[in-house]
Amino acid sequence: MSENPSEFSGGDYKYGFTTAVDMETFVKGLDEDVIRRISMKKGEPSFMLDFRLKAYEKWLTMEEPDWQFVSYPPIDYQDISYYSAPKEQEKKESLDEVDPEVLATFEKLGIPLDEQKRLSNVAVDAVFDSVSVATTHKKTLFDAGVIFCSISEALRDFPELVKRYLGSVVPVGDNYFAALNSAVFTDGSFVYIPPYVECPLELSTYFRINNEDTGQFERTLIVADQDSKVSYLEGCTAPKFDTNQLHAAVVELVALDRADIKYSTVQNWYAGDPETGKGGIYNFVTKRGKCAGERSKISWTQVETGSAITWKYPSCVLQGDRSVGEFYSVALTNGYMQADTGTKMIHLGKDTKSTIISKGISADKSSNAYRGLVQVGPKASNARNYTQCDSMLVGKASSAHTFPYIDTRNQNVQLEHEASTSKISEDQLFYFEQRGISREDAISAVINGFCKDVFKQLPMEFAVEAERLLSLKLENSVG
Amino acid sequence: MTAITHFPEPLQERIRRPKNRGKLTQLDSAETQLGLLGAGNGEGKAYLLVAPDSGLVQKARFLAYGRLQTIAALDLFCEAAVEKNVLELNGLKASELAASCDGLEPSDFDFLPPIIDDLAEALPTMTVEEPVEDKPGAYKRKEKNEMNESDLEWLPLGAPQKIAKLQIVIDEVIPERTEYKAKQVELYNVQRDLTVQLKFSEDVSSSHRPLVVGFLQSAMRADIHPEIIVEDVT
Repeated sequence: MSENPSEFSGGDYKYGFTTAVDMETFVKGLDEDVIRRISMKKGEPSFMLDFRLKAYEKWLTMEEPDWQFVSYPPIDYQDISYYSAPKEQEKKESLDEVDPEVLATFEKLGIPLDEQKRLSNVAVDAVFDSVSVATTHKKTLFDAGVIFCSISEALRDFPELVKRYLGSVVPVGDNYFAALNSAVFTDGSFVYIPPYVECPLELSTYFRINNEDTGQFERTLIVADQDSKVSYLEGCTAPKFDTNQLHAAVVELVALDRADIKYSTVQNWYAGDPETGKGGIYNFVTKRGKCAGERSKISWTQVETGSAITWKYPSCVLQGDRSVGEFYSVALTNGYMQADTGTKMIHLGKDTKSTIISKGISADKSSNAYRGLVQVGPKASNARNYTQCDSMLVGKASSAHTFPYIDTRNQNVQLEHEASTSKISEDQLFYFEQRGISREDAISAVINGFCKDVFKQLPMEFAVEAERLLSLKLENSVG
Repeated sequence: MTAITHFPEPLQERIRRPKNRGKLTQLDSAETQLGLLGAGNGEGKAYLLVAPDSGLVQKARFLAYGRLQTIAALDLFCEAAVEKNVLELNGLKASELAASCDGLEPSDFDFLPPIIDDLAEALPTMTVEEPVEDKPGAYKRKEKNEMNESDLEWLPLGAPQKIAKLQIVIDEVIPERTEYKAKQVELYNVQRDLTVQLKFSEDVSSSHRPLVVGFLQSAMRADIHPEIIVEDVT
């Protein structure tokens, strides 16, 4: 029997099924009325409608960016439905109330929503198309003072808290896709960690697009109050469709004095048909963290293996003195995937420190670009940055590109940048094969060695799956 | 934000390790307890459970998300509210509460009036509540030191790995030992680590299903874990 569970995470995209649940979906198109209806549907406080309308107004004046190193046909924003939810989706107090079809979907995906997996020490919020369907482990978290719920629920129960921080890191007009998200976001996760609390569980959100004509616009807001600590995991899947779906999310992190936020992502959206390039998700995401307090720390770890197009730069604004920003990334592209991803480290406070480790792997006919900015403000004396940016080419038709930017307005800083480009060669594989190691295992070993600096930052279970996912995605790519 | 070291030692302890943190939420019905969702002033919320006949506060919890002193003040208020009649809460004086904890000011209890107003408003229409609880009697996985070799290989696996391994057995056993195809048997769920639930497609004869379940159970027990139970939930 084969030990290789490729059925689940391998080359043939296993998450590509749809679920037959009764959905409530808005007709396609976007105007002010749609935004008002979304806000009304969610029963939001009035400040949220103002927030949305302001964003929409801003979005109308903006142009879609075209500087990124990807190409795709123009998106018709009027041909997208901006709200889709399982019917009768009032907030569920218990998993018994959630549509069994929805739960079955998450079961198929291996998402720990059911009772037994509540004990797996991971609290999960799951977002199905536009709406959060369940949040687990509530009591344990509330007893620790941790608020972890859908953003709709947070707006209902803790509006003043959401109002204080929403848009404080990514303002409504930050960029084209962030403005669109701010206008139409339908759900997402909210986390607040009170002072002096280390979150007792790993928090996790799973995003699932189920509907062909729906865009997914989720919003995540995480606030770690002083001297607190949290680790947050995010995963994403979608069904196979011949058409492209738009995913425009915004993630905002706020770390107050001495707070520590670790944000890990394994992104495996459907990447389109590997033979024809047809279909797949357009993944246009704005992720930014603000180290607002002294000695605060934000660490982004991402493994990007899916999406037809990825446009994403998880960033850190290092405002507090002695704050620390980290970015660890593996971006794998194969088939016809295109990725333009990287990070921004904005040093504003004194003695701030950032680390960027980026590993790009391109296979087949894909294109993979790293784009990074290290910016140092005039008051950021003694700022330090170390950037390591490595690309690996697999096969003959793939391409890798690097666009590093350094902008410093302070002379008393230390900035280092290392970069390399390498290729898995037949010689390397021959070396393994003559020692009895199969070709697939050889590729896997080379890739995992290449990515180990990033994988070691991931929580154990994610790391194991990320390794396997990468190996399986690269099957048959060499030669 | 005020640093915690600016507060006296006992107050620091209350901020770091409050005793009454948590949330109480609403239920549909109950006979013995009425509850009430407390209000907040933008820095926190208090939640109270009240007995309907006596009007006594049985349990009080809070969530705070503002200044450090609000954590301490809400914790203190929750402590003081328990066993008090809701009418007595009207008499709770911010100055008395503040005096009971060195370092707090009466203004730190600005959240009191809205909570008490809410109480007064809700008294005639109070609804039933009980604490949010994770399901009682939930399955508990063995501790690591109690696991045998098979357990160690199977139980700690994440759900994706478990599903993948089970699927491999289904893919192999169904065509090999039955007249059916693997896709006619859907791996529906894995409950409590060891209960595997299957769904059959309509064209699998109902008289054959127990046999197929038996084949799969023995194969999974041999290949994966000796205590696996396979169920047909079609």
